Amino acid sequence: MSKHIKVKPPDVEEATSINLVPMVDIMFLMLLFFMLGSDMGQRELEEVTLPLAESIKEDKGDAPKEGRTTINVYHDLKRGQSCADYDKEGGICRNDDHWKVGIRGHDYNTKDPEQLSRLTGLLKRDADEGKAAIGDRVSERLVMIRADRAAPYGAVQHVMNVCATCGIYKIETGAAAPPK
Amino acid sequence: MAHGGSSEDNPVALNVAPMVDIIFCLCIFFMCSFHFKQLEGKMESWLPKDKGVFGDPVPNPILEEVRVFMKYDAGTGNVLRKVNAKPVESDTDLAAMLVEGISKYKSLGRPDTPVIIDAEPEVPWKDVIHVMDLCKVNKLEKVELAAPMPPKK
Repeated sequence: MSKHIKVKPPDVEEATSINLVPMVDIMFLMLLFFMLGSDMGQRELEEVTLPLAESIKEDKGDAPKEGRTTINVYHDLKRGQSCADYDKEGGICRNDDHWKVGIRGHDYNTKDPEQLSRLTGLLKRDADEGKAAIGDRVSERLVMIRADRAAPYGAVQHVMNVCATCGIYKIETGAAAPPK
Repeated sequence: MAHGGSSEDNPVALNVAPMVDIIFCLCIFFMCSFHFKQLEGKMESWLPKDKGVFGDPVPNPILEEVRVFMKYDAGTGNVLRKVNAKPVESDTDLAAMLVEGISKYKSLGRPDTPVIIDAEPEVPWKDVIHVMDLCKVNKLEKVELAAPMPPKK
């Protein structure tokens, strides 16, 4: 008779645990990267310090069916430039190159004829959307002008003029409620 | 662990410490870059439909008007205001003169007479808005902004 010896089989079970920590780290880093580098090109509101007014109506931000265009008039410097005159507490800068007209993230300098014609073309397209019929002179499109409190009146006047030539007459001006 | 199991039952051990680190980094990032939203409002300043740059010339121009001239003095940083060529210092005086001027027109049967704001291009926008606001607060709803002179050809 042969003798049977019981042999314990070798432990071949592989370790299958997945280390999730690096994946989570990488995902958060990617999230951070996309948040910082995301395209802000379509933003409607630029950072402006609005003038104060007591008689303002609350702006709920709801656009009428004819649509609404927001135009920002704000102080903007090119990279490397600085401006000692302007500050958010009330400093007045009268350098025309520092004041920009921004619509949906694109800047226009109304003193430059080429940029002015591009701005006019853009507003004409917006105005056409608010016209009851093709060929109408007057558009029902609403335009909100958010101008910085230190902006030169001439820049706002220029924007209003362009709106008028495009047939837009429904103009609203942005203002903030004074602190109580 | 949920369902009454112990942590030793879970073969995928998750070290949460780095995740917590990153979340704290995110929190700090958002806290530093957070701005409280300013309460924004609006003022209606609709342009006249049939006047202005594309309208027909006004057949009989009105010579009398309530006009606020505004001029920016770059030296002092002040804005000089005049109502029909008369200098005005305080907001109270300005409001009183405007209300008085418009009430005269109302008594003559012309309630639609506007207050015309005629500001130089250098005047800060906040001062123009301030005059508009004074008009609205004093129930002078018809406010017009003078159009710039067309360029000479």
